[in-house]
Amino acid sequence: MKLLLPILAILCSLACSREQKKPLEPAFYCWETVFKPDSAAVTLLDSLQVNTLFVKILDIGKNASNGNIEPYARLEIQNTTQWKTRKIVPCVFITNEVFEGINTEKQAWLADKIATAARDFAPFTEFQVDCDWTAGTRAAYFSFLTLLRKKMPENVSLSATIRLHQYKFPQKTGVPPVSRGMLMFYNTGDVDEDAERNSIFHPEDARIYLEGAPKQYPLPLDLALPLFSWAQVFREGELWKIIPGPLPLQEMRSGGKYRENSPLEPFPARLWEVQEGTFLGGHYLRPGDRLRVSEISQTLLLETAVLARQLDLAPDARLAFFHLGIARTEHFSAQQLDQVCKTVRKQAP
Amino acid sequence: MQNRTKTGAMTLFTILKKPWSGLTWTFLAGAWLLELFSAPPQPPATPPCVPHAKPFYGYTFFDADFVDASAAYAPFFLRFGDYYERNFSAEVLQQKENCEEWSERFCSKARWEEVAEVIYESDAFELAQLHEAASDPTRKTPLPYRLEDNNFAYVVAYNGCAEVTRYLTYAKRCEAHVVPRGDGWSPVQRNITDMMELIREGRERFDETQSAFVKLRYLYQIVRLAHYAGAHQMTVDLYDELMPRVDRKKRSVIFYWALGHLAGAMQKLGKYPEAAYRYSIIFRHCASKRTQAFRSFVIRDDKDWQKTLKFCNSNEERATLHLMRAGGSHTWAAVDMEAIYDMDPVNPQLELLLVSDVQELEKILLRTQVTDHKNGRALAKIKREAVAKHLLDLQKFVRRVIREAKVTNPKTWRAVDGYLELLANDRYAAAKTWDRLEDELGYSKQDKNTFQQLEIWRCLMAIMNLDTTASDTVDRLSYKVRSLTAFDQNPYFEPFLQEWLSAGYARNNHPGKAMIAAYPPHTIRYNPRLDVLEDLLRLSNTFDPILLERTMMIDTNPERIKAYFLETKGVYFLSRGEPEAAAAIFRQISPVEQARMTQFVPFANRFGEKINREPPRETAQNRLEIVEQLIKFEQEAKAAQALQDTNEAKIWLRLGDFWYNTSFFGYEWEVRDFHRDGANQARLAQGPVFPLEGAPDGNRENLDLDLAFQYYEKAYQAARTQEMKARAAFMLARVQQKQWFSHPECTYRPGNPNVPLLPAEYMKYYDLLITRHSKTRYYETVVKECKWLAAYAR
Repeated sequence: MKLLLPILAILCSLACSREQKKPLEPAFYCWETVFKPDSAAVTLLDSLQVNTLFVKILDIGKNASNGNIEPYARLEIQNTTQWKTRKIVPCVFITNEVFEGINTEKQAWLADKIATAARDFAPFTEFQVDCDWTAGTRAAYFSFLTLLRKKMPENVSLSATIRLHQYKFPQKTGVPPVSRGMLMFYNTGDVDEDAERNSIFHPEDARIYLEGAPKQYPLPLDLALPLFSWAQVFREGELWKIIPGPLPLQEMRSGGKYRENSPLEPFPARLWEVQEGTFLGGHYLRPGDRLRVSEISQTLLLETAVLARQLDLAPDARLAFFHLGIARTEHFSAQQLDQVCKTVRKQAP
Repeated sequence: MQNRTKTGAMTLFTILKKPWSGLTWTFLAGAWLLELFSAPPQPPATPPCVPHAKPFYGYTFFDADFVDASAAYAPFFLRFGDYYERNFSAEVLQQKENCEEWSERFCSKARWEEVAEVIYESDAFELAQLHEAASDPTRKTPLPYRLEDNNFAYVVAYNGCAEVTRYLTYAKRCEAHVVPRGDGWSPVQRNITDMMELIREGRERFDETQSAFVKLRYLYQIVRLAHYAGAHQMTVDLYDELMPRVDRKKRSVIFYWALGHLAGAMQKLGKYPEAAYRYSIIFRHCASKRTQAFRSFVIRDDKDWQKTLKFCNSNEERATLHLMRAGGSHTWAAVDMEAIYDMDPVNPQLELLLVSDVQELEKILLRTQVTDHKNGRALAKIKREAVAKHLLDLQKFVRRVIREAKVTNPKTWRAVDGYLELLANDRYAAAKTWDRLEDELGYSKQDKNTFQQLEIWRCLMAIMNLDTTASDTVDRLSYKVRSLTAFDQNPYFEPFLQEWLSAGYARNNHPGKAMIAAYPPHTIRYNPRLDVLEDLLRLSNTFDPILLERTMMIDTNPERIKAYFLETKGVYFLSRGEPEAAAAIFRQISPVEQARMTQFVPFANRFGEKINREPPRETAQNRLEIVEQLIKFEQEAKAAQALQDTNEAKIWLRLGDFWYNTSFFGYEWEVRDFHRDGANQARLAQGPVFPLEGAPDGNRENLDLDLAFQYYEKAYQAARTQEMKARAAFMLARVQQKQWFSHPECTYRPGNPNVPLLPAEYMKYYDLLITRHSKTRYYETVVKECKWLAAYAR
């Protein structure tokens, strides 16, 4: 009996630990057209022990003038060492417009083109497709995914990105025929709106997607969290441009060409009004233009992680930060990002 | 000129002349602006997402020839439809510029097309043959077969221009390395070794060449190769080394082409201001590379801007930078114009910016509520509110320019001054400004173009003067406006006139007249509105000329036009489940017109899902007969119910069949509708009103099956035989299935080969049919025909 009790205790703890989910594996998206992580990026990857990189290899859209489906950009690999030493998941971004009115033959053609182009980036064991499909394009997109799966080598698994509305309404929006999903836990706000709320992530907006979502999503899910910033420029009340970050906020404050408003929102977008004509991010801004600058602070990032606990993530889920180039310039440290990974897996109080 | 002016103006004078004083006009202008800003138009009833709708960017009444049509800057600032695309195709322009330079070099002995044939269309073999011919001092070597009749080839060979032909063979070899490669799916693979070898060879040839004309071309090939090879520093070094060695006394487009490669390389090296300055030079001087220069022009921040300005050697160059900055920001450019004007008042591009700014004003001010209704409200509220300030700022600037008289074409500015007055609704002042200007116009091309432009604006003024309250004269005046020559010259006039009249009628409580002025008559049937139909019926009794003119598309017979509206109104009531009201309306149609009404067979019980109507049979009835029959059935059913007649269930079933068959899902949908769009099956939950291009209030489909359900339920309850119960249960099941298809959570779409899965609450009657009535003959028949039922039964 004396011997039995410790054995039972060990068995019990083993059983319990098997039910516990693994810690999230950190990963990064590389969304630039040239793959060349510099020494700072490599240090960040090493410190955080990042093995997996989701790298965009093609941007595919529809040519407005002739209607052809064609790549806008193709990845150029300049840092081959990093490419060879990490686990690369090639990704393609396809605009939703591509699947509007596309027939089966064209779907097969597209699948074939992508599979062929992907061969240049081999070896890989996972391939990801990013498309914000709608009810109108769902059938074509899903059928394309099935065809792409057939064109890919057998050992390659297919994953797809899932937007928050697709996560909340799987019955309505459908579930893509892939092995895994990458839930993009951001872009919660309305981009066209000239508001004081952070348009990349706002906990209140995110909660709307979480409340009433099914407890279980039909696919094993990974998680993508934002690190980026952007400025929406409103000219005479209309969204005119989106200027990607990082923005020279210090310069903007000191130059006397902008007036900054301080919103009362807990997670605000900074609102700026142009007082004098000035260039920003390659665009000429005129007096009266309004900027809605949304950023992800460390506090807000932790807030996303806390809310992400409510998501139905896979037991072996990965947490991919979007994206590596920004992580470096926005100075997120490995410790901060590690804390985010741990926060998602902590039990809710 | 004077006579012509008067004649032209006289036609308009009769329309424009009103015995109103300037003060009245000022008051009206104020009231108009007040109305514009105090009562913003209602949001469009038409949903924004209309399949296949063409984008609408607003009206413009500028004549393409008013500003310098040869100014290739124009596409960057103006909207003249495809005018500039037709006239300024970059590829053609590039070939033409280069070939004209070659042609000029050879004393214009050959047309530019012949030069193009040699330079762009000949292969390496033909060029080698040409070189052989040019190198032969005996002049006995023949020209290549394809170029036998080519004057350029002949002149080159005859004059022994071996330096030229040697260059052409080299250029052909370079071409293979610099044309765009791949389709984007595969990586661009260039043979860098070969390219470097060609650069080395080119440099040797550059040194050996005597002709400055050919030397510059070698430089261009070398620099281009280096740029395409990705050797950006090398590109800069080669340019800096070789360009000073070229005699550039004579202007050449090739200099700007080479400069483009230098700018591209500099940008890649992070020298943005240096690159931007060079792109501005190209933009100013080289039409064929203007688009590329404009697209490549990047100023990242204010430091770049200041540094770029410092490179400029003259006010003209600075003005070009301001021009490019203005072109990229797509908004009011009055500030930029003032800056350019202060630096370079004779800059011809000022006029383009002026027109561009006025076009922005046109976009907002020449919109009515009807424009918004038709095309969606594209403009932000703030923009509408700010328009008055922009208009005043621009007027102030234009008047300053006119006062100072420094610009090249002051008459253009004066004409625009009048147009700004018209846009401010000060029509009296506008007419006066143009009258004064017309008196000074002569016979020059510029003056003729200005006159032409004034004619267009006077035509616009004539439309804006139309008084929609005076129905006895407005039609006559509209006709006169349409007969003006200027009216045919701008495709925007007709829709603008329709919308202007429509907005006026709407203000005067004539919704029907407003509708029919802006839309073809058949469109009122997509989603009929009672107020519109009643107004049209009122007008049809008064022989209203506008109504008659617009309804000519229906018929010329007033009685037939009235019948058209009455039938539409009857269908309106029928589609809302009010057969008694429909009958009362249909009875107002004259017997002659009743005999012409389409016939239908809506009471048959069918279980097929096809919605195609069969040709009318003997039992077919027109809509009046149908509603009378419907009312009769209703009375008979109620009587049968009270008397416990065995026919009760049968009559309820017939009534249910009517409402099912004439719904969106039934084969006789046309009884209660005029337009059914099959594409709406894929988005039923968004209904019952769906977007449709050209439909003023969308397209309404009869999706509501509540009445059919109620009658079928009564039939089921009253049925005394299993056969009748099976029949009613099957129809109830079909109704429930369609109701589920219209539910927002339904993901089933037509065309899906799978059997639709229904939630339990929508399966009630299928279950009932399968469990309780499967032993009937009706069930046996229907289960063979209906694959869904068969699947559910399994």
